[in-house]
Amino acid sequence: MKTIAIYHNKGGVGKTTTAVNLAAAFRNRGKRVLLVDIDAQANSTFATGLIKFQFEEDDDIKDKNILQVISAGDFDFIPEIVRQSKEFNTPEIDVIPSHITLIDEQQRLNRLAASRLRLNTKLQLVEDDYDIVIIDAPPSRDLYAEIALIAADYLIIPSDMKPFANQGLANVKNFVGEVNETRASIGKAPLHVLGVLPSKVMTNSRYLEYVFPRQRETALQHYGFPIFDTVIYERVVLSNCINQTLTMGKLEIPDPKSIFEFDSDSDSVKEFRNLANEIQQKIGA
Amino acid sequence: MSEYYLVDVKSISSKVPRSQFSEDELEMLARSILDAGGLLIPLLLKQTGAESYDVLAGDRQYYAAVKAREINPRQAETVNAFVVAEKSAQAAIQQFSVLYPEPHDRSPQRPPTDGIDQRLSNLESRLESALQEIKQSQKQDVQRLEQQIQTLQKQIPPKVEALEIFNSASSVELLQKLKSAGITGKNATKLITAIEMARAEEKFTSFTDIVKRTNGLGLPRMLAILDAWNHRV
Ligand SMILES: Nc1ncnc2c1ncn2[C@@H]1O[C@H](COP(=O)(O)OP(=O)(O)O)[C@@H](O)[C@H]1O
Ligand SMILES: [Mg+2]
Repeated sequence: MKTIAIYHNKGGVGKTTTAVNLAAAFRNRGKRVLLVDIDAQANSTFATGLIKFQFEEDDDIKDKNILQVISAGDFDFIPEIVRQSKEFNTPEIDVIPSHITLIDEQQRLNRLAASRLRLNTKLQLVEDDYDIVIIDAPPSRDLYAEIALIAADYLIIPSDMKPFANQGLANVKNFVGEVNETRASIGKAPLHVLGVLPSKVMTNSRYLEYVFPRQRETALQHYGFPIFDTVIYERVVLSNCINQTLTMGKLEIPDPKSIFEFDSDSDSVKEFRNLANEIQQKIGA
Repeated sequence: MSEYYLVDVKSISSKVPRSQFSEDELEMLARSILDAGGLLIPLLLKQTGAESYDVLAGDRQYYAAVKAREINPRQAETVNAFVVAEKSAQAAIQQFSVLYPEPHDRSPQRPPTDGIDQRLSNLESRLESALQEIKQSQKQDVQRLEQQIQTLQKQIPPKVEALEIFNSASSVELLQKLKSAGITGKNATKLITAIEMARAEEKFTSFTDIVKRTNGLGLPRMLAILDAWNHRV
């Protein structure tokens, strides 16, 4: 089992898009995939078709999500909390959903000495059940991000390579340093940074010719992170596939799809296949 | 620095034998921990590993917390505690013993008087720790077994009978299901209304029953739906 965290402390850089479609890419190769959403915004949970309900009383995630996994030590193990994505991909993937209540609980969990380690411990218990675990982390430097980076073996940092995102890399670097201390205390090797993944990159040819190479070079020189060869370009299909809906009478029901399910001939599909290849080469999965 | 935490009871150990405290009193304290929603005088702990702690002071409360967890494993999984750094340990213990003198004193209440007493109390503490170990390992075995059963159950594909879908799927689920059979838009909405009306009268007993009682769902369409669902599974 290889566990990959998707993290950057800047929001909107394509973490969730990367997490869910990469999960689908691995699943389509026959890998047993678990996607863990630990961002209170629950975007990955939504994107995998688990939030189709329209009314609060139909919310079946509130009492069975990542919060329970990190709260209890002797209860709420992965197999009890996991569920299958719904009409997201063929075949579907396993998901540990997230929920907005994560925000309210952060303070209590901060005081819980073992909360940092629970996800790590519980993932170890299912190491024979999955080949790949992907964790979609929140865009912050908080407890939940820490939990994700402690549980992971590898880190992918999606970045649109623009100045703000690039400057954020210094932050990511410090954070990884802190997390490595905790990892050392539980006998875990330092987090292996697979690299910065250029994501949401504009397809404008002048930009690609003049600006992008310089931004890439800066990220490499300044922050010392490796950079993926694969680039996930900004393409409308990638946001369309998440925003699909079905209508029934007056109701609009979310019907999000993986890019593979939505448009298997799109360029984005090729990019995610390349990404999966590049990762497999790097981690030997 | 002394930091205030919720610590897993199972990760704490005490050097004082449990037998030194009256079971009745521990039981009473345990109930009050559960009823009050926590231990009100936190333990003093020293961290000895990533997930292990020793009691510096508050052994009685510690055993009460252990007992509370025996009574309600989910609610009393953790206990309030100060985790004390090495260099402040002495001062913390002293403060604790001034504030809460008698029962929290770590020194044995009845100093062993003769050899037999001593041996008895040693025996007691050895028994206690052996018992704890057995309990712990048994719990781990049970946990491992439960885990394995769950994993196995997951590998058995959830075979939702098509009939069951017609009988109990919500409108949203029906919509999804019909879509996978190529039925969308107004057609789907109409069909769902018809299905819901028919099944409200009486549960469907067979596919023939569904075709007979659902307006707008003929045999060819029914077969097409079942075929499509079969392929997806
Ligand atoms: N490569 C891309 N092409 C087009 N739109 C994208 C791409 N990546 C992300 N987006 C869109 O940008 C927004 C933020 O992306 P998201 O993956 O949710 O980022 P994050 O998880 O980092 O906050 C979403 O609306 C998403 O659909
Ligand atoms: Mg996100």
